[in-house]
Order: sequence, then structure tokens, then C-alpha cells
Amino acid sequence: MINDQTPNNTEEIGYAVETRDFLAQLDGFPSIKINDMVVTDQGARGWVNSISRDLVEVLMLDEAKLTPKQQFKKTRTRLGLNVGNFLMGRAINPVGVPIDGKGLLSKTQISSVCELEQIAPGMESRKFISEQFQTGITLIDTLIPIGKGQRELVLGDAHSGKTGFLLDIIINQKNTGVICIYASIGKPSVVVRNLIDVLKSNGALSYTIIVAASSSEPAPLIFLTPKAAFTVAEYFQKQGKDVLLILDDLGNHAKIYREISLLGNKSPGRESYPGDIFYQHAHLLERAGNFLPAYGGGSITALPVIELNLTDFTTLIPTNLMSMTDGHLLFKSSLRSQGQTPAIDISLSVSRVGRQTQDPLSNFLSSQVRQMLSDASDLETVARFSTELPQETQLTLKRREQIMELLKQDPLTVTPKAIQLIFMALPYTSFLKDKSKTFLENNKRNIADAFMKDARLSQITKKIPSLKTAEELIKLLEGAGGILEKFFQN
Amino acid sequence: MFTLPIETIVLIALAITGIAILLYLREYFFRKKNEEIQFKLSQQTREKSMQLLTAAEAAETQVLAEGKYATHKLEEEFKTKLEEMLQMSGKSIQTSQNELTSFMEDLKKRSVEFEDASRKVSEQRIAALLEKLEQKLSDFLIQTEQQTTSSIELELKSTRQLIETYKTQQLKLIDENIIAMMEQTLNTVLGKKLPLKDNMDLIYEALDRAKTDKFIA
Amino acid sequence: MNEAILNTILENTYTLSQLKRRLSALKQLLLKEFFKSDSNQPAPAIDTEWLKSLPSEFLKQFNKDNVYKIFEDIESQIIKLPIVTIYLTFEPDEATLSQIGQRAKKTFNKLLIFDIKYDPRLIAGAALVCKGVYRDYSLRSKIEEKRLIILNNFKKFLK
Repeated sequence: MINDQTPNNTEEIGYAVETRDFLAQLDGFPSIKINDMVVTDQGARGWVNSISRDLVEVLMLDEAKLTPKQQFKKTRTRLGLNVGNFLMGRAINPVGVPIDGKGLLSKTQISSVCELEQIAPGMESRKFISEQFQTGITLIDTLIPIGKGQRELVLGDAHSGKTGFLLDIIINQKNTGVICIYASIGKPSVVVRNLIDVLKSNGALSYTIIVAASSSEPAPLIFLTPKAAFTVAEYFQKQGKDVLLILDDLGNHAKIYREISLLGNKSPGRESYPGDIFYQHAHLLERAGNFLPAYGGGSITALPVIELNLTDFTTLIPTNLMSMTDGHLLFKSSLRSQGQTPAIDISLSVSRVGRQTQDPLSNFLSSQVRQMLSDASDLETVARFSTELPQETQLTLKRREQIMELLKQDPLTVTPKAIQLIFMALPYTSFLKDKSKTFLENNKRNIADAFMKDARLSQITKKIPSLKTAEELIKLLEGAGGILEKFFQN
Repeated sequence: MFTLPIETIVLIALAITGIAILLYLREYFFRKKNEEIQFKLSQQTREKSMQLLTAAEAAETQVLAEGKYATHKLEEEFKTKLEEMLQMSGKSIQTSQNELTSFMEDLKKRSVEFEDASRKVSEQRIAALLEKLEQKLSDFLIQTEQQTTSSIELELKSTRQLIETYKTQQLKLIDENIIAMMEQTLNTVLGKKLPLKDNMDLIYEALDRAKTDKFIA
Repeated sequence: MNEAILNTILENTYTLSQLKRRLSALKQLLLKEFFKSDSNQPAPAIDTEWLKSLPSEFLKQFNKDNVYKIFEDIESQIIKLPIVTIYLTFEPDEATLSQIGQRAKKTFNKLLIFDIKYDPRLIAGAALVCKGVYRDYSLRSKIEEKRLIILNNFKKFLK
């Protein structure tokens, strides 16, 4: 058994027996392990993906022309990444090379090299998810709340506004101490550049890290992107910070993995995906969660994204991801074209862990509103066929219209928590009883401003954290109805 | 119905008138008596009232006279008492005035003393404060001077160290360059000039060493 | 029996490419003899010499029936042979090659087969690779080891 402390003039060598694009089968390397790094004479790096009886399978990270019998040397490093605080505000590729053109990552700080492949911590290190993750978007924070440490799948067809929604969440985390990591898996470089520019112009770049592999990179590099993103996230989580991790998108990742496996002659399974595609995604997502202080404290909230064809979301990858996450948000492009932003279908979206993180008032309000929405959708079919509707039905339908209008939120806006609760409770007061949808459309902003700035109304806003039930809030708002009427008459 | 003869009727009528005239005459004599009685009564009352009046007048004059006398006496008493009181109050005012003036003089004296004393004390205090301030200021200045000099020294030391490390690094680089150049020259020279025999010797040596290292099975 | 054949062949064959060439020349010769199949390319001169040097008993072991089978066996055995890759700074000719080969066969295993590779970065001498482990016994490594001493001497020279 040859140990690692070999004298200077001894190294382990392998010769290429078979090469296909980015995949090389090597002969040699008596003591190599999976995830060790190897390098050719020209400096092209690769890592060991699998080991068989007499051949070693290596995936190349750099584009290089491989010739038969080419010599590969084993390096002393394993597949890993330099992590440190210098990563904030930078964009890197999955092996740690900066791609934003701002020069070296760090000149002075000694960083630690973390391996990309980590085993997810077990149950003994996890803490019950009890804190809500404030996204600043009314629809999410009230009806489909997300907890810190939860994994919530973002599902939707193309052009349904998913990326905009995710950018809004990042921008709304300003001054909250949450660190955001955006992993762009196989997207064109233009998209990544755009992303960096948007974040910079909104002042969100200082607490964001971007891990990106563009679609022109070799497939193995794209495949490593989510692992690299999780490694960076774990570094910050161990310092006790809360981390938001966005994986955009895992469908691309699955396709790349399929490409690599088929090239490596692995037997294709359902939809030609290899048999371990579930493992690849599951062992990645398991690294997210809420951790006990003994294991670093902090939390990693993961938002994997998958773009799919909405007529059929029962294909392999979406169903896999739905079963390994704690809920999903379904985006529909039809809702978007009707003007609803975020274009989330509330009845088909679910958050399995979020309800336990909400305070009692929000819980009451959200169950009330959800009940009302489901009643309204039942009554909708009736409404289409009868011209004369009873009072109650009309009221429910009207309330639903008003709630949906209040839940719409323009991109790049943030709604404070108190205002969110007020919006949810307003349709139950008499102030909005006779107001039309266009009134709300035009005056939503003004109502919010009134509750924040006007002296009497801001008293109500301040009282909200101390309320316990929805009825109290509705009563308070009834009292404010008079003031609001006067406000809008002027 | 039975009819009465006219004579009865006339008799009855005459009886009735006769009774009526008797009654009337009685009444008339009654009234006269009454009037006489009344007349007598009224006279009596008149006389009594006259008597009462005269009695009342006499009483009135008596009372008046008594009243006047009493008021006169009261006035005199009042006068004397007033004079006494005026005198007394005059005396008391004098005494209190004297007391007041003496008190004021006393007060003046005291305040003057107090002023002097306080002035002295405040002067002392100010002097003491100023001294302390001077002292502290000088201490502070000395301290800051020391601190700045020490920090400057530290900085100098660290920069010197940096320069040293940089120097050593550069020297190392130069060394490596030298060796690299030497290797290259050796390479080219030996590559052209090394005789085959020497090369073969080296190769045999390599094989022998491999054998001793048990490198090849 | 096949082992004996292989041993005979390997007695003065030193490198893998040499071995493969010689085997194909031998096969060509034998097939020509048995089946009168004439190939277009005649074997290179060195190989024909070697073929002539083979003892006649050796050639008699082959006959029509077992020719193909013997070659298959030999080929399967060759795969299992220990191969040592040697990096030289020059391309050796036949004579040098046989010298090196004989020396190696004496020192180690008679059945040893080399794979010669060219690496001028080793200034002189050779580097060996066996079973995936690379050991540099060349002058380059010696200089690397003694670089400090060399450097100091150099500096003395400068001063």
C-alpha cells in the first residue's frame, strides 16, 4: 500500500486507454480514490468519477485534446473549493475560479479548502424549524409561508416569472443578515451577466455569491455547480448564519448528468436518465436544513427550481424533486399573462413546514383566507351559470377578487409584515365592501403608505405584533375605516 | 180631588199673612236691638284704643330717652378705648421697627462676611482645578506621544519585516530562476554532447537502483 | 509448450513494439510457409534477421493445425506480462536497445518487457514506471535533490 507521503521523485501515473469527449478511462493509479484530482502534462485537470477492476474513469474539467496513452499524474488534492468570506459579492465557477472579471479572490486571507462531496449531516444535528423566512412577498409570507431551513421547490413553465420572483426574494433580504447564494446551472453567460447587473443595481450584490457554469463549459463542470454551491452554503452555515440557496435549475443538471452517464455507458432507465438520478438530487438537497448550535447553528434554506411543461408535471424529475422537498410553488404562465405577479397558483402550491413557523395571527388569517378562496373557486362555476346570485355568494366572490388584487406585488418591491397582515384582513372590513377592483388596483400603494405614515393609522400598524386573533385585527381595521374613507375622499 | 170652599181658602190665606206679618215684626225688633248693641260695642272699642295709643306714646318717649343716653355712653367708652389702642399699637410698631433695623444690619454684616468667605473658597477651588487640569493634560500628552511613537515603531517594524520577506522571496525566485536556467543549459549541452556511454551508465545505474528499492517485482 | 515458445521469443526482444512487430513477422512467415499466403508488405530487415536467427526446432513446433491457436495463446499471455515504462532522453537504436534490454533482463525478470517513451526534460538517465508508480532516477531529480548545494557553489563562483 503506497501512502501519500511519497518521496519527491515518486508519483502515481496512469495512461489513457480510452477517451470520449470529456470522459477518459485510465489504466494505472494503484491507490487512487474517488474524487481525487488528476492532471495531464498540459495541465488539464480531471477528477475520478468511478473505479472499476482495472480501469479508472475520469471526468475532465478543462477542455483538452486527449491522446491515447496520454500520461495522467495524480495530484495531492481532492475535488474541492476555496471558501472564505472573500467570496461575498463575487461570481465564481464550480472549482473556485472567479468569473466576474474583478481579479483574484483574495490576496491575503488564508482560506480553507472544502471538499465538494460532503455527506449530509444526520438527524442528531437538526433543529426543529420554527422561524419564518421573510421573503417580503405578501403571497408567500401569508398563504404559503417558508421556514428557515426548509426546501421549497419552485416549479413552473417557461416565462412564468420564476427568475424575477427569486431575484425579488434576494433583494428583499437586504439588511437582514441572510446570505444568498445563486447557483446558475448551465444557463447562457448573458443570463448570468444580467443577473449580476440587476443585483448590483439594487444593492444586493454585497451579500450574494454567484456560482455559475455557463452552457458553453464542459459538462462535468456544469454537473459540479450544485455541489459547489452547497459547499459554500455550508461554510457560512457553520458560522451560524442563515443562508438562502437557489439552484436554477435542476432540470438542466439532470440532463447533464444523463449526458455524462450515457457517455460512460451506464444503462439508461426511465426517460433515459441513469438509475441513480434520484440519489444525485436527494443527497444534495439533504444538505439543507436548520442546524443545532453544536453543529454550527445557522440554517440553509434551499429553493431548487425546475422548468417544465405544465401540461404534464408527472415526468420523472419533477416528481422526484417534489418528493424530496418540503413543498412546492407552482408558477403558471397563464396567470402571468392575466397580470398576476407572482404567478403562483395558490390551490396547487403547498408548504409542508411553513405553517408551524407562522405566528398565531398570521395563521388564523391565512386559514381564513384560504378557506374563502377555496369556497370562491367552488362557487365560481355556479356564478357562471346563474345571473342572480345570493348575497353571500356575491360577497365571497368579491372578497376573492379583492384579495387576489391585494396579493399582486410588482417586481422589486417589498411589503413589510404588518402591511401584509393588513392587506389580508381588509377585505373583511366594511371599508372595502363597496370598493371595486380598479379602486384597489390604483390605490393599493396609497393604502400601504397611509398605514405606514399617517399618525392615527400607524398606531394600528404598531399594535399588530401584539394581537392574537384575526377578529381583533378586523375590529381594529373597522375602526380605521372611517379615517381611510376620509383619506380617499380627499 | 176634593174642592175646598172659598171661605176656607180665604181663611187660610189670611192666617198665612198674619203669621208672615208677625215674623216680620219680630225680625225688625231683633235688628234694632242688634244695632244698638253694635253701637255700644263700637264706642267701647274706640275708647280702649284711645287709651292704648296714649300709653304707647308715653312708652315710646321713655324708650327714646333711654336709648340716647346709652348711645352717648357707648360713644365715650369707644373713644377712650380707641385712644388706648392707638397708643399701644404705636408703641409696638416702634419696637418692631427697631428690631427690624437691627436685624437688617446684622444681615448685612453676615452677608458681607459670607461673600468674602465664598470668594476665597472659590478662588482656591479654581486654582486647584486648574492645577489638576494641567497635570492631566500633560499626562495625556505624554501618553499619546508614547503611544504614537510605539505604534509608529511597530509599523516600521512590520514594514521592515514585509520588506525583508519580500526580499527573501525575490531572492528565492532568483535562485529558482538560476537553477532553471542551469537545468536548461545542462539539458541542451548534455543533450548534444553527452556521450552514449555515459548515458548508458546512468541508465544502468537507474536500473540497479530500482532493483535495490525493490521497485520492480 | 506455448510458454517455451514465448520465452524463446522474449529472449532477445526488449520492447513491446519490438515484440508486436516480431510476432507479426513470425506469423507472416509461418502463414506463408503453410498456406502460401503472400502479404504485400515484406517484413522489415531487422526482423528478418531475427527470424533467421531462430533455431529450426523452434520453427518446427508450428504446423498447420496449431498455428492460429498458438498465436492466440501467446497474445493472451502477452497481455499478462509485466510491462515497465522507461522514459529516456533519446531514441535508442537497436544496438543500444538490446544492451539496455539485456541488462534489465539480467537484473530483473527474463520476461520483462519495456515500453520506451521519450522525455527530454530528464536531462540524462532514465525514469521508470511500474504498476502505475512513477520513479524518477534521472539527472534532473538528482539536481533537484542537491539544488541548495549547487546553488551555494554557484554563488561562491559569483562572488
